[in-house]
Amino acid sequence: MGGRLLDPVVAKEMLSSWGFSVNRSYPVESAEKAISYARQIGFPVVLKMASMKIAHKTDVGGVVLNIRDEGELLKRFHELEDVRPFVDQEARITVEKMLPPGVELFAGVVDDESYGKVLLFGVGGIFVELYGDVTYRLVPIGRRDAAEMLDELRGRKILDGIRGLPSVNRGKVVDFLCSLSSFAGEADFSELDINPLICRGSEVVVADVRIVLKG
Amino acid sequence: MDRLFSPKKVAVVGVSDSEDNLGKNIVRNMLFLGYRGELFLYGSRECEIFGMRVERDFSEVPPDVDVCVVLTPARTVPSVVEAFSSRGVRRFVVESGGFSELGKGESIQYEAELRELARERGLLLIGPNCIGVVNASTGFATPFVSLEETGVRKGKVAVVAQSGGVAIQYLEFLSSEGIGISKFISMGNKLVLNEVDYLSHLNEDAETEVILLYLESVENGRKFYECLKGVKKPVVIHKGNVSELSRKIAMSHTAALSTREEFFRAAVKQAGKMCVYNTSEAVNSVKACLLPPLKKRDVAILSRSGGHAVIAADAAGARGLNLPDFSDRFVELVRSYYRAGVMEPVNPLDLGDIFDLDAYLDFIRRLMFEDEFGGVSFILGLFEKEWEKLDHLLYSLRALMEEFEKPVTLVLQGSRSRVLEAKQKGILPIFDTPEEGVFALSISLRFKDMFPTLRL
Repeated sequence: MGGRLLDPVVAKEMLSSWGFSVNRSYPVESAEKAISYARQIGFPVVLKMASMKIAHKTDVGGVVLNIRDEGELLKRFHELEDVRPFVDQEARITVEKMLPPGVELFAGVVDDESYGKVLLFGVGGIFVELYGDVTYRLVPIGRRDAAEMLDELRGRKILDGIRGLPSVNRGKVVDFLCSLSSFAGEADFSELDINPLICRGSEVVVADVRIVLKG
Repeated sequence: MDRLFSPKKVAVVGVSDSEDNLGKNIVRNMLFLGYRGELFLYGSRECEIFGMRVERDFSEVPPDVDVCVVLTPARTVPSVVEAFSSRGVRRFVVESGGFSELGKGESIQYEAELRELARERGLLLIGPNCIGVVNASTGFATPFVSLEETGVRKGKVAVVAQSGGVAIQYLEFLSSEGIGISKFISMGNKLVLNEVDYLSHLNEDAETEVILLYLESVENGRKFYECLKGVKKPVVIHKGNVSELSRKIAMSHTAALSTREEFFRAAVKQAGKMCVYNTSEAVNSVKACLLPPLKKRDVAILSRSGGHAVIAADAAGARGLNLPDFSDRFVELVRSYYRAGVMEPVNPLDLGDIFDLDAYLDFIRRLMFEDEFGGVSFILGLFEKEWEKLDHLLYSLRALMEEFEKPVTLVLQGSRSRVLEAKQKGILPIFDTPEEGVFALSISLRFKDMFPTLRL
């Protein structure tokens, strides 16, 4: 347990290159760069503080969601720059697309000394630990294990669509879990968090990932 | 490994004729259980016990002793094992306490010495800090607690436990339930042999059909999982020592949410086995494993008492079982027996004013025949004069289960002594409460691909 955080931008690239659908982050050094990326990917966008030191960005105000136009982007960018010295001087600011609302799930992998790689899956968001609605399987898993994991969640009804969100394509989530299991079997790391995994219909997108390396 | 459980020549070290000597109980148990092998007894002074010599000198140990049972003070154990293994003995049951379980100073040292000795000489060693094994078919028994009162009923369930006390308790429970055991293993500190070795052995053991395992820890989670997955028999695991704290400070949600207990639970489920967290569920699960498994969630409940029918129906709902409507033919059949004819036969069925054991058997036969139902729970309080028909009832239910390969969980109500007597017949598993009868049906779903027939 422990070790160091992989650069979050690199972590996303890594999952993307493995074929996962990832909401990519673009590191930007200046507000002008942020605006130019935002124009390319289209508003609304999200600004994040990409740090290798902080564990949970939201807790330190390091995530600004739903930025609708260039004026707001400029303002928020400077605000993040202002708090950066108090959080992590080396943190980078990234811009990414604001995903349409979806069901927020959580997936993780831990490399345990006794059990080896174990896959976690549950209801995501910033309160994932509070609810603890998470289920576990030893890597590798099969489709049947993945389907059982969905059924084991207390909050599984969230997958049927709730409060105007479209229902989640369960087969796609099963696909995702099986791919994550294969990835976990191959890659070398000690902990991995995908939170949130945003699911909307048959879209299953990694919105944020954290990888803790060994040693 | 086989010979560890079925030895022909056994040495017991730590025996004397003094009143408080525990070692002599080991000998007494084997005599009581009719063990037919040869016994060689050793102690700190020469004496005689049960007509057998207790020797002091190890140099005369026959080289072909299969198992050496050691119950001497911890500090002497490494030298005893050293002496016997030098004479060619390869299998040991070390029952002495006073090793790593004390967690301090010399006791850790003794255990390290023992481990090194076992590793160097390739010894198979059970314990230390255990009561060892019982083989119900040969009478080979190493517990130093008397088994005379409990007795050892021969059956098809192997009991493996990380605690001698829990192992003995399960031995008693399975005995009084009329089920019995095939093998009994108290693992102790698991210095050499651990759950993985025992599971692998029992998987191949022709006398064992169901395994009941009490565990407080696993030596290696991944090996345990791989082994458990390979076991082709139902395994019921009673897991103790579950209150592990999660890591409070972590760099990831994953680490914060991870406990070994969750991993253990996942491993057991993934391996297609069963994990329970209390003694009565463990016993009821074992009883369920002896029945043909439920192949679908649709069941029927029959009860002489309306209240118990309701309780069982609630339990069925909570356990995810369905109570489908009865077929017209079944409804007609029941109606033909109702005297007042005012009740509507619905599932759960209140047997109402039908007081006829053969009618009940008729109903159950019909339900077993219908594809709609996977199994039946039958709640029955017997009237005084009906107890004499008990054997007929039990054998008939057993025959129905064998014919249709579907389970009937019989919940028998009456005085404790009557029910105990019924269980002791060993004709079929009998349950105490409506909830237990339904629980047993529901858990056998897990093993539906594994075994087809009655195993008692």
